[in-house]
Amino acid sequence: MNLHEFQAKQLFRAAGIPVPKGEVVDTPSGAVDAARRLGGQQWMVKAQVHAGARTEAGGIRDFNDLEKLHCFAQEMLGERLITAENSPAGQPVNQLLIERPCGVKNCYHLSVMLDPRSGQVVFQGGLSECRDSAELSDQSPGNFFQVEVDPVVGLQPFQSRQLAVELRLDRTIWPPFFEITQALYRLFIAKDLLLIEIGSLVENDHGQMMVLDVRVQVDNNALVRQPELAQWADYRQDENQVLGNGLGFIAMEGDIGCIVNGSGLALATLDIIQLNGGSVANIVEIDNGASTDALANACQLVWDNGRCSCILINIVGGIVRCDKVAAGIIDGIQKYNITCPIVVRMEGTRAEEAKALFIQSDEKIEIVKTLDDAIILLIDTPES
Amino acid sequence: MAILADKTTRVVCQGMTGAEGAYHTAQCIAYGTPVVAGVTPGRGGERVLDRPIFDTVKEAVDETAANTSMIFVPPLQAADAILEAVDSGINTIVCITRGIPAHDMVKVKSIIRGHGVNLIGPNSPGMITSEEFKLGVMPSGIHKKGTIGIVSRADSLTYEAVMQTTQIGLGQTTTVGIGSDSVMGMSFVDVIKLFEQDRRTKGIIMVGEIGGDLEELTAQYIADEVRKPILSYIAGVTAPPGKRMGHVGVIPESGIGSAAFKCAVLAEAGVQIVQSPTELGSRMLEYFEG
Repeated sequence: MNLHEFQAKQLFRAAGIPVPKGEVVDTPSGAVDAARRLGGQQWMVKAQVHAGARTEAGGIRDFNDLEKLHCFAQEMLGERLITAENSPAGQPVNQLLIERPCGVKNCYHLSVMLDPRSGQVVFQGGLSECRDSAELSDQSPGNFFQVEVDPVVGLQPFQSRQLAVELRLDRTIWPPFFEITQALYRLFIAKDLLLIEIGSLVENDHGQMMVLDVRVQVDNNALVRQPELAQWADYRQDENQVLGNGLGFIAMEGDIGCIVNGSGLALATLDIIQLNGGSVANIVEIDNGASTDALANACQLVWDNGRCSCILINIVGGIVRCDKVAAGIIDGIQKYNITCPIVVRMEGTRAEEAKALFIQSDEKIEIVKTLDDAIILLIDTPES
Repeated sequence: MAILADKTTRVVCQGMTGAEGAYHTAQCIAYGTPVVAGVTPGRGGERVLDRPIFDTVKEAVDETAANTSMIFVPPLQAADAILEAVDSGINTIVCITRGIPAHDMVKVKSIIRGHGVNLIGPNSPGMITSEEFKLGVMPSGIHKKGTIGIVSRADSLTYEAVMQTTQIGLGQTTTVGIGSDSVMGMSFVDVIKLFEQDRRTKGIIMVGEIGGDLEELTAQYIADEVRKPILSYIAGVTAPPGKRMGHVGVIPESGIGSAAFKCAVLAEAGVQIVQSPTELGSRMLEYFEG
């Protein structure tokens, strides 16, 4: 799960990592009020979306005129920002972060992430391009280097020194840098983060270190033990998310709706349909955690008010039991009055019981043995 | 027996008293797996599925000489369960649990390095030697004793490869689901190494997935070390680049992680690639007949 920049900075502030003074707002007049409260003659206005490359997309600007700032806020709020990193539809801007700018003397890049293969926490650093807008860009220059931290022993002081030397930091700013790296490591562990990506860790004109831009990702699997972060989820930002109730959703542009168990089988189903000339409207991926209600809901999601012309249910049960899935789906068909043709292919755990349920249900459902058979029913192949 | 289990294997199930654990352990016992004990903290002294339950893995190992564990413990307790098994001298661990926080798993990985433990999973359907031994949640009926070793990171899609090799008459030696979490125990390379050494396994099927770099890392090993015929399907060859596809994440346009790149490096390493999963069985048969 991604956090917004303002949320990440809130975590940083609480952890003692210096960030610019700022306020988050959701109305144009609120933006002006915030700028007045922050004081000074110049303000950064930053659109809050879960994507990078916002500067190039016009989502981050600085103003020295409150009227222009108001106009920009009015344009931005409620619009969708399309950047090089998100989908063609962009993401909705519902909040703006207003900040005081700070003079930049030197600028660095610093990330903390997990290396799944070695089981280590990795600090990666490099010199960054110095820009006023100071936001992460993929084209950041400089060589990257990394320090690997064993999570069993934690970040050691010598590792912070290695980072400081590699970044060629002035010795006068070593002490605040050491504090920042230790605080980052503690935050990374305490909050179950998968990624902290600081695009601009800067040394300002007063010789202080400060984080101007940061991206933070939280482990979805850990949200149950991070309730305060779970509240920060912004589902309007990320399409095709795992919905968290045992269902995952992938929206496509075609006309065949699919209900499948497991992400691998979902991708395979997509491949088979598309290689045979069909097109997929959407895929709902179910797992063992899906309740009967969630399964009924899955039917409504794929049906999408009639946008799909037929539905393929492709379940190969293992830990997922086919009969439980069948019961939920029959429920959904009746509850949401789904009228399009439905083709069912079920194999594995309790598949026979499931097929019996479909036959008893009186719903018009075609049960097939193999995926090839399903394809023949779903796709009208042109006469050759 | 084929890989990862032999005549000395004795299984303890951690989390056997839960609904899921009890259901699937009963299936494993019915398949012939020597399950000797269960472990659930606080339930020691009970009997479930006619097996003794212990409070700790150590007790189970001391009393029943268990050397292999299957784990059905809930996600937030699962890393602790793995570490308990390792500490108690268990050498093969199958972790079925899905949704373990990544931080818990990196810690496990860091600790088990150098222990010589085979960890399958987490978020894995487990492993099965056809018609002999099952440690997992896969449907038993689709497996048939034969000559193909199957390794997969694509959960339910694994069963597709199994059904096809069964239908076409080749059958399987052992099938291993390495799980679809980013922090995993055994990798493709670890399992393929065992298949290459296993006398009964005549051919290998590897089921991959777009995203990540696991298949790319496996290619070099295959080129250098694998002499047996090996066939692969990468799920998601038709997925549109730039789009977020569920657990897989965003599909890159080209390079590492993309279907085209994975297929190219595997083909270069001598792996036969099928475009559609419906071709897995028939292409393997062609290999042996042609």
